[in-house]
Amino acid sequence: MANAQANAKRNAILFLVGTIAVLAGLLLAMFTGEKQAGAIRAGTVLKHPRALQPFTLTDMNGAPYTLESMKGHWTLLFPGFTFCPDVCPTTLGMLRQVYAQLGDSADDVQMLFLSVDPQRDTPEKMRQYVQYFDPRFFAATTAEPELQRVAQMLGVAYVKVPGSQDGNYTMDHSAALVLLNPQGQIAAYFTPPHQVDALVHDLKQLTAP
Amino acid sequence: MNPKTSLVFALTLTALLASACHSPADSTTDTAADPAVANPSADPGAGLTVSDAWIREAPPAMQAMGGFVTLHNPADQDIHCDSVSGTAFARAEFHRSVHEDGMSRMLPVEELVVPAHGTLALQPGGYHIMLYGWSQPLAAGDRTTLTISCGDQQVSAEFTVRSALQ
Repeated sequence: MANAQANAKRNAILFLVGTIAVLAGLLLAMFTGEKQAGAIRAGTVLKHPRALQPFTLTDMNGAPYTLESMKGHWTLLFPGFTFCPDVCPTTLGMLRQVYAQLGDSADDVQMLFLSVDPQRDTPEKMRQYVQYFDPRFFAATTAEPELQRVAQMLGVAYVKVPGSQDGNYTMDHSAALVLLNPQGQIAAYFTPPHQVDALVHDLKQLTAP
Repeated sequence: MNPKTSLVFALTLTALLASACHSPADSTTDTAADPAVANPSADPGAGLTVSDAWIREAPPAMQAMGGFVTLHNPADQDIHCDSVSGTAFARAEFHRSVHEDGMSRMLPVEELVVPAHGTLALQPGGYHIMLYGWSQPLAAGDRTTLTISCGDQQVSAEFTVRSALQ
């Protein structure tokens, strides 16, 4: 009996501590989010944009794509692969709507599809794939180990997962979109579930001159 | 106080709060509350029915397509579906897209469970049929038949190809 009472008391304390911890976290997130980024709806804005080391990818036209290629405009980077039957077309279809609604602001934000599957995604395949969704979309990748190094700098994770048959595989990859500023620095991350309206709102606000 | 227990509790509560804010892509619902049921007058002994069967058009260069459908189970028992096939495809499998730990993953699904008197919706971002090796390119507006096998019953449905630009 005494034991049960002690347990009940302990549970109550744990509940209180847990609730306070969670509420404190939520309040902190709301407060710091507001302080850093005004009324951003979907993104997590970095307080200090993170610089990247120089790198070289190959773009969808077979030309080099470097850190310099990112400068002078904003870049919205989406990691994926063309073999992906569900999440990637869903996200690219969503981004097509975002770009349609961005209007003039779309000119200042380049959508970059970073393929995490260079083994299958040739420049030609990437170009056909992303341009199906929007002729303004761009794509790039590179062979290992450079891809791993670039992805790590961007905060993008990926791993190859064997499929149901020999030689077949799929890729697990980060679900977040990465926003880079015109200096080629990481400015913000957008995590799913992605909402068109929220992304349009945030991109307009963050990329406004 | 055990700090580990406390941490687990706080994390659990966070997860509960987080899940309350999400609208999961795949869902099982009570047939009685679902206005989209294909055959609401089905008698309790009837078998599986389907509605909203479609395939997302593959953009150029893509080697896999996603198929989506809503399964309705009017029976008193859950129905377990373990395979799917179509003559237009070399291979078809059940898969599930999930977001966890910040990662997009595609998990193979051994079987789909359609709850008794309920529905299971296969839709983008959740459960789907992965289709490989089509014999002819399929464009928006085309139709093709897929057959879903669930133990001793099979259900065939015509799937309409829709543009991926929606």
